[in-house]
Amino acid sequence: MRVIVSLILMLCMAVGAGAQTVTIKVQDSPAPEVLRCIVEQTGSNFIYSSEVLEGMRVTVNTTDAPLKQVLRQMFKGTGVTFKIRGNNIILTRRSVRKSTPIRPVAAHFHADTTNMLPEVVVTSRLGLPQLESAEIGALKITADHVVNTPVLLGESDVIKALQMEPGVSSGAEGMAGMHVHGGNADENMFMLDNIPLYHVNHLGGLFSAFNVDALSYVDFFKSSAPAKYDGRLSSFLDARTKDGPTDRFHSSFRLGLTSGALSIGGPVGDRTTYALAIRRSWLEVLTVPFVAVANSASHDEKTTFGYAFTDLNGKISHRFTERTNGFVSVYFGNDNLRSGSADKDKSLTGTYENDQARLNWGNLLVRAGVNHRFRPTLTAEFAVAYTRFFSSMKHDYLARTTTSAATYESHATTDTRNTVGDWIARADFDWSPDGSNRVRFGASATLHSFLPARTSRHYTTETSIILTRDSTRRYAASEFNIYIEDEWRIGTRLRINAGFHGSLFTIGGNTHAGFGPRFSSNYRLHPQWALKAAYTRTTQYVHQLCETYLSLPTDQWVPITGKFKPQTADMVSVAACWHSPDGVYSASVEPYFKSMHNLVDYRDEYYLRSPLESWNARLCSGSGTAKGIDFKIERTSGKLTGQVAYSLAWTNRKFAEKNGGRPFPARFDHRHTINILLNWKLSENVQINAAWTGHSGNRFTLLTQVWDTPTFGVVFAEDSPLKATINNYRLPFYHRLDLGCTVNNRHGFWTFSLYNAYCHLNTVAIRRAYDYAGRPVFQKVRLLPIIPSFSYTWQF
Amino acid sequence: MAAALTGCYQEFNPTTDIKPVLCINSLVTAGQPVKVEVTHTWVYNDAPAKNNHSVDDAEVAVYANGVLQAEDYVAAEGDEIRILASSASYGKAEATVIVPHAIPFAMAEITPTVNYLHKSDSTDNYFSIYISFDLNMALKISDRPTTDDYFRIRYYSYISLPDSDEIMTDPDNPDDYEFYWTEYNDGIEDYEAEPIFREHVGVFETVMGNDSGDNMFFSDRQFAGKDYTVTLRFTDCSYYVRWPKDAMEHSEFRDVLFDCGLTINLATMSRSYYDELIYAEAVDYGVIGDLGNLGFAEPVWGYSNVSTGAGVVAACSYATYTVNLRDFLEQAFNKQ
Repeated sequence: MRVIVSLILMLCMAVGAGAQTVTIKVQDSPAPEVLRCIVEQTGSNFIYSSEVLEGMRVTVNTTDAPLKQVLRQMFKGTGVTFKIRGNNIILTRRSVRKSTPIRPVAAHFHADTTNMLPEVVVTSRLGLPQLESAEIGALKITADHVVNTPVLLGESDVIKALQMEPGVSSGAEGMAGMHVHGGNADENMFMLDNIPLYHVNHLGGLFSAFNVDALSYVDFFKSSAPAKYDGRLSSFLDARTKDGPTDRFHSSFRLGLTSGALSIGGPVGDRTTYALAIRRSWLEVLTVPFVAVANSASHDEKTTFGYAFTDLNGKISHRFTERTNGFVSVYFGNDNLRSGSADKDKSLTGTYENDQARLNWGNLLVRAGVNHRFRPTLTAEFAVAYTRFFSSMKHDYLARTTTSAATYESHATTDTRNTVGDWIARADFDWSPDGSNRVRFGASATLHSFLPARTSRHYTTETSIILTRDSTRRYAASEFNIYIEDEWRIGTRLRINAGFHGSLFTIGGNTHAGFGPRFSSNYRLHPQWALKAAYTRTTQYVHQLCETYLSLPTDQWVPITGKFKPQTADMVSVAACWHSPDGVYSASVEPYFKSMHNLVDYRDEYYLRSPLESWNARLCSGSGTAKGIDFKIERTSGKLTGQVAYSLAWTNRKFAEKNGGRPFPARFDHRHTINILLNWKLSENVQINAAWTGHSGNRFTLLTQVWDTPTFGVVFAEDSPLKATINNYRLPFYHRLDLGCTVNNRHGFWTFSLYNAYCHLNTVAIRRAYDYAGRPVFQKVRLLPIIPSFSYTWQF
Repeated sequence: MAAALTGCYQEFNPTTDIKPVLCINSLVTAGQPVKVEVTHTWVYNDAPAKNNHSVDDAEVAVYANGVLQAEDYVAAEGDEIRILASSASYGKAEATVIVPHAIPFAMAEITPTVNYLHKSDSTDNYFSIYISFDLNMALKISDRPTTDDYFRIRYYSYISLPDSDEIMTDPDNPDDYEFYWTEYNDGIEDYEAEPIFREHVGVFETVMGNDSGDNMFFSDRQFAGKDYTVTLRFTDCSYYVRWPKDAMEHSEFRDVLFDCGLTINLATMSRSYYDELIYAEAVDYGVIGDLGNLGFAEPVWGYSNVSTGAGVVAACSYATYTVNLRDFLEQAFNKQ
């Protein structure tokens, strides 16, 4: 059985669907795209399992034809049947038909819907063309879209795919960072099935934690946000996992240059399905020979090193009744890094040292709940979940000196733990009381537990024993959220989505309240044109402390405490959208302005603060603004599809204890960003992808002047750099072309990719160094040349 | 890893509007005249300026507790020292520091251990001793409860016998040349023996950073107002003497034969001194300094408490203890 991922009904028109007429002329177009055209013209709702139309391409040629006739023509010979129920059209498949998907992500599951709820989703509100939706900057991307975006080392990545969207900036070169409309990386809410994930990167951000093999689709909001979402300032990403197939056992296995992945799934009886996806890196296999050679060459020292990451997604779904489905899902992601060295000689006399470090970090997310349809117009989802980020770093150093007279030993262990754990209970309702209104409402309660970097130090020597624990303590907090919004269609031209999100966050006896009004509207000037306006206010109670632009296990999630207030953002955006009559092309222009308050960041020279002090002592509070315009042109069907996106943006920050209190541009203040993504289907079995990205260089604090280092210090450098305005220098324009190719064969498919195809090494920093003659010089640090990769996926 | 393996560097000359400013460096030490160095900043890749950045027209004024002092003013513990510098070319700069009070310490324990001893016998035509040993010491510090204190330990070795340069030749018989040598080697400081030397190193730096700078500085954060015993361990210390065979017949030689040891200074530092040391370790050994230079973290600029952002005005007072190893070495020699 295919479990309902979500059931989102589109607004009903006042007239029955069957009475509508449709004009449409498409040839060999994806069926979902054709449905969208029909939705545009009729306002009907299509409800179906996503597998029903998977890979299906159709040809339709009608002029002012009744809807039924259009649907008959569209699905003739496909095995798909339809039932019209008022304004809803339910699509099912009579029998399993082998589809020919292009570059499938994993196993392909086909729903046998004869014994199922007439469920499943559909053409969701977000899947509607932008002409229909009131939201601005909303995006729904499928796993196929993700894998069709060529990336570094061939690891398909949701976040890197989103980096191609206007208004979304990448972080450090090659990394899966995301900065949306000038926001910081921690201002993005990453969710797995509507439950937050705190740490979404592996290997410092080289890969994201979202295993695309386990995903069905991703909802992404970067401008206006539905009232359902809150808790972050910049964006909301909700990755939805796949359900197990209902017809039979399916599996696939993928092996790439850096990782391997296994996906399996199938039915258990008539009512239950399961899906399991495991991904694991095998980088340590590459490092083992190097370490072994190094150890054999060294007579004195034995080196240890290893790194691995693992992702596990599992999901079990069960149909209790015709109207009730249950589910249990789990995600576990883990990174493990160990390194160290030890003297080989453990003889009784002399010096022996053993220095070992082990880092372990990751996420655990468990979620269970039920979907229930109270009546055709009211559905609900009830869920409880536990999500936890954990990070553990342990350093163990043993030094032993043995003489004929005595043995001296010092043993130092440093153990740092950093965790955040949330117990969550939530209920979400979706109610369509009439043909013009659709109301979504719900509530959630969260019990947070934060442990920001508690460090234990244990030192033992002959004369001293020190056992200290940093002043950091565990923080408990509770959070309550409610939301309601109504999507109201007024006449045939105007659609309004209005609501609010309220929250209470209690910590240490203090309660902070957040009120987030949401408003978005869509006015159809013309069948092909829409004007939109939106206002969104969001509140953020937790933030991440990052000492670097990488995503490291030392990054700590901490709550708002002490003198710091909840972070808030007010965003106003407008948009103009256009779709071609045949639905093949679309374009949008989206200006926005965002004001951010109570932002938290490291203060200047924070590193001078002792690690024994509270983490709050290193922080300061400030504000920021972001403004700009996003442009996007898409071609969504045909052999050649793709998009061109351009962003013009300004982003500033101001902190009392940074930069002398003066405003400064944000690090990723990209004035111009151009992203071009093309997918060219050469044949049924071969597809070529190209992604070109170019943007103004990152801002950088260039320290140009130096002064004499005082002689009483211990600095080796003769000179010390003079403080300068933060982010005073813009690095050179960044640009890169990535190419990819997918070749299907009988048992699976090959993927080939070229990262940075024309090998333009981009500048990521300016450093001070010395040339070969010992003269001081500035040098551009340029990274990542052309990097080829490939992988093969078996499907069985 | 990939970035490190595939990156490259390209020389570059930034064009920015640059205005040099005054730089003041001074370490004010209780009991010593205040010395001030005034220079100016320069663009990093300006090699001529690197070699000459003096300020010819600088005027410097030193105030102690608000009173303008003469050039040879000797600082005292508790003084508030304010230094002002001005130049027609580079503007003005100033900084203030308070000279901390010294905190005396006691040597709770001195434990030398002989590892190896060799001495010449009667058949040798010269007199020689070589003693290799380890030296463990425990310094007891009684912290003041009322102030935040910052400490730095430094040590200097001494030996009473003249070194080899003064006795290279026999003045009575210049042709009978023989090489004589005396040396006290204070060995290798085992910094890991005292964990408090690492208290300023966070776990991020501990796990991912480079080796520490082996600097013996710390604060009283973990023993504020209490006693704390600092462990100092030196391994592979050695004492070596090679003299004429009849040297022991002369009382001038015998009286100072084993007279050597260490002078240990416990400096109580101003916060600016301590911060300068923290900065130095962050830049030279910290991972933040490396990542900042590669663009993966904010660059780290030089710590300064001078109004222009260039220079450090610091202060300290010393307590001193002398560790004499004469008895230990003499006993070891006689036991052999």
